[in-house]
Formats: sequence, structure tokens, C-alpha cells
Amino acid sequence: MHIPDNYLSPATCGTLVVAMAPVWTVSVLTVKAQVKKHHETLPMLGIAASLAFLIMMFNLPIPGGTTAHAVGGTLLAVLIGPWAACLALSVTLLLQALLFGDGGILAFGANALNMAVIMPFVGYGCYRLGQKLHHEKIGLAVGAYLGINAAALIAGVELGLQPLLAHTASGAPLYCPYGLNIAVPAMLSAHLLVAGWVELVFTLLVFQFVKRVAPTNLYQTPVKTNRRPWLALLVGLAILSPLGLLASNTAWGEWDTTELTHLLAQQHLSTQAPQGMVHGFHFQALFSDYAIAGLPVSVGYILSALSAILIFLLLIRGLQHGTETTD
Amino acid sequence: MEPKQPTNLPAWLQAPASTTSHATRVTFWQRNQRHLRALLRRLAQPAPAIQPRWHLAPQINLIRLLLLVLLIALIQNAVLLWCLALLLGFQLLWLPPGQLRRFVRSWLFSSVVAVIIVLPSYWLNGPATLLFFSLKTSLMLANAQYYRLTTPFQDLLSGLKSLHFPDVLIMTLAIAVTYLRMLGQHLLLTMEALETRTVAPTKHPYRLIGAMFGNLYLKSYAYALELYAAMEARGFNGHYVRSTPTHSHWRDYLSLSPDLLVLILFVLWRP
Repeated sequence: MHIPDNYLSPATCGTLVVAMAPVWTVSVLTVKAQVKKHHETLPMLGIAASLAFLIMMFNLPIPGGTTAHAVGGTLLAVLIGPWAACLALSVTLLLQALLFGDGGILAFGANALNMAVIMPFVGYGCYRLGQKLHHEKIGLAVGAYLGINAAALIAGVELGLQPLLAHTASGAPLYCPYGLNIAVPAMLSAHLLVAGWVELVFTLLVFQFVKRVAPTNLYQTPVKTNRRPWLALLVGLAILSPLGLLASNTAWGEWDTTELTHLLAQQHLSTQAPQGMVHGFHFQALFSDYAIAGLPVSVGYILSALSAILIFLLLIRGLQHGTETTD
Repeated sequence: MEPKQPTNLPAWLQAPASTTSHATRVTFWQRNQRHLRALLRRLAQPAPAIQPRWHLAPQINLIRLLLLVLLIALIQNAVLLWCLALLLGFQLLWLPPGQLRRFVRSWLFSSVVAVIIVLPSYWLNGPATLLFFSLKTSLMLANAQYYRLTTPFQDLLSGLKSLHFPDVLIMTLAIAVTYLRMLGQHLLLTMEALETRTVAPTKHPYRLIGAMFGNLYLKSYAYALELYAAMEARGFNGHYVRSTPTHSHWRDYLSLSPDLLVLILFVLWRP
């Protein structure tokens, strides 16, 4: 899954490094907070990075006489926490790119996004969900399988977009020559059929061993987290939502067929909308475009926003663990 | 005086030993052990980094590598790429013959692997795209390989520090490389012990691997506790001290000039 150099355009590489910058910042800040409680986390980051290196290097037998290797993203997230795993895996990828020639130097951001963010966080999310439903092993197995496949899917999309993003005037691709129709199935089939199962079995067995031998060495999710920043963010976004009323035109890519036909005609591309869109599935929402019949658009917009916030708050309230006792 | 008993060897010892060598299948254990030994050899005795005539500051070396890789990725002009290849070729002239052979071997291997992946695109886009892509990828790999060959790990850390990378990252990198060797050694010994004690093929190799890596994680945890205790004992305060002065000299900036010239040509030249 390590994307080498020259497979992604410099623009894609740059964008993905920029996208990774806030993730790394939050990781460092979270790990610093984690270090205050568990001092060993600091050296553990480096040691976990070398452990991840060895996991990626170790070939596992698969039926048919060949071998494959695990990545260990979900496993590390469960063992040392997702943010620490993100940092440790990023360091492993940097080492591999700079010292061992595995994975590109420019493509470091893309590889970090796939293997150090998507894989551990998807895996850890599933594991936590399984824990809440009292089936942590099932959650971990699903997380390991989904984590690696989600990462493979994103890697396939990154590669498959290149012929569309960077090509010569004659249409010849400048970087990865395979489009989405080849890159995504190629990446996904290999991971859905082989690598995903290898990752699942490997993660589950190592987790079982550690849990049996030293359960206290597993990452303990903080019981109480400071939710104030998240609440402030949500309230801030809710307050800012009426800004959407200032926009007069339809957002890019959200056109209906009439608008699209008009735009295509303006650009001298076509005089009719694509057939797939014209004859495709059309869902009539209850409050289409946040408008309520008989009310001004602005009132409908605000009422829709308030309704959505209320529904989500009720959902969150309903899913919370109750503290009341039953007699 | 002659001995009464003949000193002939027993018949079973006189019979020629059957030394038929069966072409045994290399098991995944052996393959992993081979890979691990190669890694440990490389970490234990890293090839001495060649000191070029002009010893450049580590951060300049790192910037130079990034600039070159970026330029090669951006440039679609064959002449400019040729210039960059010539530049690298001149640098390679300074390498001792043994190191040069090592460079070529490693570079060819990685280039072949990279080209094999894009080989089927010949039927999609024709030979021109494939050839251009292969040449660019090979040139990038050659530059990265040259950097690896001429830069010791300590210089990489100093370079990152000079470029204001966070201390946590640099310390993590330093610990990772140090403990990669220790954990690798532990893994290899475990595998050798398992192989020595196993008399029949393992029924569930995955269970064994799970136990092995679980054990390795617990070992890592123990190492982390010991390491933190040692760090505290030595007055660790969370800051990574710069070991060598890394001030850039005018020669460092001069060394960037050919790459910058190509960059200017890339921006201004429209053939």
C-alpha cells in the first residue's frame, strides 16, 4: 500500500501533506496530554514505530504458498491509543521512505493519511463500538478488516484520480497511468480477498495474547474527556449556519438537470443533461432545499437547521448511558 | 606390537553418508529470518557514509533532496531531466567503486520493481508514457538512493532539527532506529528458538505468530519503562539537544545553485 514517488502529482502530494498537518498537530497535543498520565508513552512512541516497522516487514503465510504482510494500524491503535498510533506509524513511514526506500518521499503525506490516519482510526472506532456493545473481539476483527480496506480504497482513489488531474494536452497521463476503473478494483480486490483477512487474524491473535497475559498494558480509553471544545465548535457552527442564506447561487456540483443543461450550454459543451442524470433516481425530500411551503426561504432554512439540531441532540441523549437506577 | 583388535571403523561409519540434498521449500520462517538478518546487519554495520569533498550541512542535503525529487516530478521536459541526470552522474563519480556498485544494484532493483507496476499501462497509453514515467521514476529513486548512501542517520536527525521539526518527532525517530535493532534481535532470537524446538510443522502458525508479536509488544512496553527511567535519571526535560553545529556555509548555498538553475529554467523556459 506504500505509494512510491511519481505515482501522485506534486499538487496531490502537497494537498495531502497540508491536510495531514492539523492531524499531526492534534496528535502531538493529545499525546503530550497522554504523557502527563503515562510517562512511558513518550519512549513508547519510538518503540511502537519500530514495532510497526517489524510488523510490516514480517511475511505471513497465506493459502496458496505465497505470503503477505500485515500493517498493524488497528493493532497499534488498540495497544497504545489511536493518536499515539498515528504518530508512531507516521514515523515508521518517514523512516521507510527516507532510509529504506519503501514508499515515496513526496508521497509521504498520502501514505500517512492512508496508513497512519484512516487505518488506525477506522479500526479503533469499530473496536470501541464493539466494546460498547460488549463484543470487543468482533469489533476489533471488523475494525482491522475495515481499516485496511478503507485505507486501500482511499489509496486507490488517490491513484485513480491522477489521469483526470494531471495529463498532457493529448490526454496522456503524467503520473499514475491507471484510472479509477482500474486503480480502485486493483487495490480493493487484493485487500478484500487477502490482506484484509491477514490483518484481521494477525490483529486478533496479538490482541488476545496481550489481553490474556497483560491486560493492563492495553490502552485505556480516558473515561472523562473535556467536551467543551467540541461543544463550542458545534454551537459556533450552528450560529454561523444562517451565513448560507447569503449565497445566492446553487453550490458547485449541486445543480438540478435544468441548471446543469443551462451551464453546459453556456460552456458550449452540450445542449442536454447527461442521460444517466435525466433518467436516474430522483428522491423528493420533505423539505427540498430546506424550503417549507408557504414560508419565506430564510424562515424555512432556520427552521430546518433548528429541527436537525434538535433531532441530533435527542439521538445523542437517547444513546447515552443512563445513570438512574431501577428499583 | 600389533593390536589384537582390528581398529576398523564400524560398517555404518564406513558407509558413505547419503548427502543427497533435497530441494526443500523455503518456509516463511526462514524467509523472515533471512530478511531480519539482513536488516540487523544493515543496522549494526551501516555502510560508512561517503564524505563528499564538500561536506554540506545536513539541512541543505535534505532540502536538496526534496527540491530534486519535486523538480523531477514537475518537469515534463526531457532536456531538463537530462540535465538533472547529468548532475547526479557527476556526483556519482565521487563514489568509491564498491559503493558505486552497491548504488547501482540497489537502484536497478527498486527501479525494476517500480516499472513492473506500470508495465501494463503500455497497452493503455502506448510506449511513450511508459518510457517517460519509467525514466522519471528511476531518476527520483536514484536521487533518493544517493541521499541514503551519503547521509548518516545522525545527519538526518540534525537536518530535521535545523528545519525546526518538532522535538517529539525527532526523539521518536531516534528511539525508533535504536530500538528497531533491539526488537529485531529479540524477534530473530525468538524465531530461532521456535525453529530449534519445533519438531513437526506447526498446525496453527498464525497462533504462534500472534504469541510472538504479543510477546514482542510486551517486551517493547518493558523497554519503554526502562528507557523512560533512564531518560529521567539523565535529566531529560523534553528537548532534543542539537549535537553538532549546523550553520549553513556559503558553500552549502552554492551547492544548491545547479538545482536552482534547473528550477529557474523550468519556470522560464517554454520550448
